[in-house]
Amino acid sequence: MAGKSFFIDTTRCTACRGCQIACKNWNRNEGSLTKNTGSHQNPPDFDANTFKLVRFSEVENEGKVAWYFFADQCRHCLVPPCKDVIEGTVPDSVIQDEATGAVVYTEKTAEAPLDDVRESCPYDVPRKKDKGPFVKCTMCIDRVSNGLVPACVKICPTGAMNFGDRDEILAMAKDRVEKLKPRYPKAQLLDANEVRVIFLVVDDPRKYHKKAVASLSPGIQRPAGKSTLAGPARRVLKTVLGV
Amino acid sequence: MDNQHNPEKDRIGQAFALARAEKPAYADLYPFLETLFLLRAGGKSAARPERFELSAEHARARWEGSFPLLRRWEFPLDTEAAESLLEMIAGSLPEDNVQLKGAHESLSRALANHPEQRTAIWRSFLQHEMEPWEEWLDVAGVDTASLLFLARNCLRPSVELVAEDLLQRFPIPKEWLKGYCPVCGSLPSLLFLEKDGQRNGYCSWCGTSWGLNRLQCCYCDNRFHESLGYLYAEAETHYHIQYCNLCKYYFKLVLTGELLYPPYLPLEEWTTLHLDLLAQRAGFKQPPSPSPVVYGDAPA
Ligand code: SF4
Ligand code: SF4
Repeated sequence: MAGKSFFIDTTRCTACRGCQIACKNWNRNEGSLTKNTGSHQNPPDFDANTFKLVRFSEVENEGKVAWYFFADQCRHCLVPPCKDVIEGTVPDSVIQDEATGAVVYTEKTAEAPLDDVRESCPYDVPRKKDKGPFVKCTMCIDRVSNGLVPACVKICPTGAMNFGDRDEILAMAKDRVEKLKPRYPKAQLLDANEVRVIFLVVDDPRKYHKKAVASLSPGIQRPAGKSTLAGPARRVLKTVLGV
Repeated sequence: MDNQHNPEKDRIGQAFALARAEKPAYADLYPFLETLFLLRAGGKSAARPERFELSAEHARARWEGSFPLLRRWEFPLDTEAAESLLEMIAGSLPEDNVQLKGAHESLSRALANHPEQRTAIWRSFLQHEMEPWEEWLDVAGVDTASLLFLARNCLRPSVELVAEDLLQRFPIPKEWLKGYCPVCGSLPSLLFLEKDGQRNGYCSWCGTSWGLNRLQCCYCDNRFHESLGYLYAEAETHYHIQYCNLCKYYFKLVLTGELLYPPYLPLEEWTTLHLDLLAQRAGFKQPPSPSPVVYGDAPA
């Protein structure tokens, strides 16, 4: 089944952080204790109460400073390596919802080893509640199964966050890349064939976030130019078996 | 029956599947309503009402004068299509709905007994201030609301087709921001707010959608923000009940930006009945359908 997908068009994002707050609100996540790190990005990274994080990067482009915004979250991989790793220790503790494809952690994940799980995710998404389960974006599965869009998508005022049937979202994303190419030759979709959260960037993904694409994760590589569905599975082999 | 693929039917199927999961409280309504809407969609592909003749100048003049393009009783009808819909509905009337069955029987009998008056009988249901059908129908013990529901559902395919044809020929001008339908002058049965903030009405009579001001009472045209407000239930933030404190009427609004699929508004009219209760408990009234601005004050 094709399931659902997000399309996150970073060119439309104004970094209002509405999505970050809407996510906290819907999931009843508390605020995170944080401090000023000299960046507008706040908190500085994902944590057990922050499943959606708008990353801010200051980059230099032809002598000028530019700001890139990256509304980061779990990508809901088509073949999620985190699921394999967690279930290596605790069977049946991660649900991959059949209708949507959402990857959802259950309370049972509490028993899984922290480091292995963190390392299994090419985007460094999973976090752990103190002595509790692993947590991350759930694709608002409770909203989606009731016919509502995820909270972050509902709130986004600019059209940066989009959600729907995977075929339609893929078509929308590809169409947008084509439109942007003449002005931004580096316009590209990130890991579109492997994940359900498809980011569009118009520059080197590294400039947005060091883990914006799977291939940027150390030790987790895909054969150059050969992005296939087997990619995440290969990552698991690498992570778990060290091959 | 048509064998062609009908996307409207797919939409209906999807909307009912979602509603069954999301709003089980209305489970009793779904079997009949689903059949009814599917029959209506099929009826729409089969109906061929005559074209409503109107010149571009006349259309423009009507809209400039704040009038809709036509009145309810002026709609051309395909009465044969309505009659076959009536026949098809017979098999799906809920067993225990005595009122609806009585209404069906009475209407079918009148049509059979007065074959030469069929057109007149059907046209009589386009009226709202009088009950001309009583000339042919035996209405003793017949529930009027059920009768109107049944007859107007059979006529709905024709009515929608006429409205769609008119809108194709004469696109609604952007300046038309009246609270009533630009085609037939009825009030909206629902409002819907799009993701970009555009607020629209959905006509209770002909199914036309048109743009509205963000702040505006569709009944009395009050646009003063301090007397306009809305209620909502915490578990259903994608619905608002928009009320006017001057006239005390309310309209239900669907926030479509929150929905995964575009809402199927004919079904939403039914699956938001709990919002009507909420509004009425809060002291607001359900709006009458044809706008008094166009049709004058109708009896309640
Ligand atoms: S992005 Fe990371 S946490 Fe999300 S499904 Fe993929 S591997 Fe798991
Ligand atoms: S809500 Fe939309 S515009 Fe605001 S930060 Fe999130 S993605 Fe960007």
